[in-house]
Amino acid sequence: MNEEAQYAQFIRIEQLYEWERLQEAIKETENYIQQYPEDADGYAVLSKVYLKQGDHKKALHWSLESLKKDPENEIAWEFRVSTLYTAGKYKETMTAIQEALTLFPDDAFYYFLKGNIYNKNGEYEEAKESFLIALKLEPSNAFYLASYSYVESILGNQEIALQAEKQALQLDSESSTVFLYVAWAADQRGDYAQALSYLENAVRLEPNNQQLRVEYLEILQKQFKVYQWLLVPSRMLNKVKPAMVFLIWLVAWMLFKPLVVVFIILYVAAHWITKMIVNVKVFGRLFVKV
Amino acid sequence: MTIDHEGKRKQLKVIQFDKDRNTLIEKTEPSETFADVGGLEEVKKKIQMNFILPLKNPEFFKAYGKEAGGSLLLYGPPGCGKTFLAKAIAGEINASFIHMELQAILSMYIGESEHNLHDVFEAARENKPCVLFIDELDAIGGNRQNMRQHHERMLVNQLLLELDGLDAHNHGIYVIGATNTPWYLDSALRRPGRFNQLLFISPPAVEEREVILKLKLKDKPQNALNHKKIASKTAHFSGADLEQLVGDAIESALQRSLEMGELQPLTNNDLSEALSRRKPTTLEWFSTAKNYATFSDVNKDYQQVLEYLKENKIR
Repeated sequence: MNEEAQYAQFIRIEQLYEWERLQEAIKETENYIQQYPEDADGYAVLSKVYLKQGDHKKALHWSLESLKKDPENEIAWEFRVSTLYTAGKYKETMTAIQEALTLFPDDAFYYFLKGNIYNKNGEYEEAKESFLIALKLEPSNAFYLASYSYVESILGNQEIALQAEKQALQLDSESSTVFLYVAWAADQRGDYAQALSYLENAVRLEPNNQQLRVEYLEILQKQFKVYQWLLVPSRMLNKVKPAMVFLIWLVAWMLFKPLVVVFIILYVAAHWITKMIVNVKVFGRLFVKV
Repeated sequence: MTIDHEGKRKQLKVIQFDKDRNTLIEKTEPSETFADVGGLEEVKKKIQMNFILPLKNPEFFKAYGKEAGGSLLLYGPPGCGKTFLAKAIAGEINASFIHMELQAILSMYIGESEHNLHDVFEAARENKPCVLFIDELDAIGGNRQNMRQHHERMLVNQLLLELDGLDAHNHGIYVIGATNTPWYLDSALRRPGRFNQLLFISPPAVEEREVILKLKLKDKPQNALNHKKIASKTAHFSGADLEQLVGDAIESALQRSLEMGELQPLTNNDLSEALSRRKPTTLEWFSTAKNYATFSDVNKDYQQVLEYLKENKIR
């Protein structure tokens, strides 16, 4: 009976979390911890709720408290790593991932996050390897497939990217994150119409997500042919490491100064004009804070 | 508040689910009608036309092929009088009123929540004519994306089952749902015959705010309060926000009284100071609603929100 009540309370916390009633979820979890102070899951779930609330400091604190009770608590590790990742502390995330992987070597999630960090650092081959390991462990995970599709698209392997994109959407066509990743893949190969269709779905599913709104408006801008042409260089430079990009710009500046100036002026003008047209179409006015 | 001609009100039978006793309890309250609802003229007109008049004159509507009754879904920022409006509808059609709250229905034990839900509908059937008001509908009928667990889905299914019974066994039962987040509703709940009539309940306009302030400040010791001025400074405040504002002002007047050792009346200054510390809570709701209305409104359900935002210059 006691176990049943404990389980029911745990389920209730999960329910409140799903409904995004986070304050109530926090209160309920605190009650749970008071009743079952030795259960490391309680502290770990509190970390999870605080992460959703965007309070990274508290999320990290409670994940540590959970790990003090049980150094191998799966939930605590997951949310410790997720918090560090969300907070943008990629170096610390990598260290935490290595530690987590010694305990849970078959947990695909950590390879997925590793891949994302490599992606952000422009280390695409390493990212691809990480996504492939994640997919070996969980072949039917739509998130992993969509991320893999994106990185293959950057690396120029469009056929493989398209295949992974299709599979990802077959597995989950109700996730805004999956739509976002496959939109990036489509954007990368210059298929702006497809990217728009994916982002339309993404923003419809989660219109309150600022990143999705911004990316949706950007892809609307990219539907203009003039803007598309001006984006060709930047799309090509996407595949190159940041230091190399800087070098290419420097050389171009020294060799073709007037051309570079004309390009920059055209680019800025096209960017702002298309942005204003999109703003008027979507919001009915020229300048908008999204 | 208006009082009917005989100087006394009709009584409204209110039924609620008591979680502690796990049973339905009954009480009576003075009946409210549309005359008691300040403002919301457009909303009241729409409810009259689509909900109340078809009930009062079914033959006219039938002649034009329109069905009587159905169910309504009220949505809008929290604290703007959705419950009060639902009660007024019950008063208008002289029906009993069942107030169903999510927290009361949800049980810790699997299967019992559906049972509780069924009991509430049964009580409505026994108390015809009856307005069954389902508060926080989004939490019961949240969309499938947020509802991966089987037992949560069962509660939605039970609700659908009860609603679909509206035609067969539920004649004389008028279901009104309320939600702050209509976009989280399971699409199955929005099909014809269920909650297909959506009504936006906006925050009170300046005249309504003045009425609310007068009402909340009535009988309090006060010193020439300028209700109109305070009302004009409280744009976008919900009824609940105004109540809190008044509460804050009373607290400072009370504190002053305790310090001075004699009763100090509430002043405009108390209200102004309280106002400087409070912001309307509706703005957060509008910023979310705007995103749904702009980016996710395939069926054009939330156009009223966009119009309201434009009219009231909310960005």
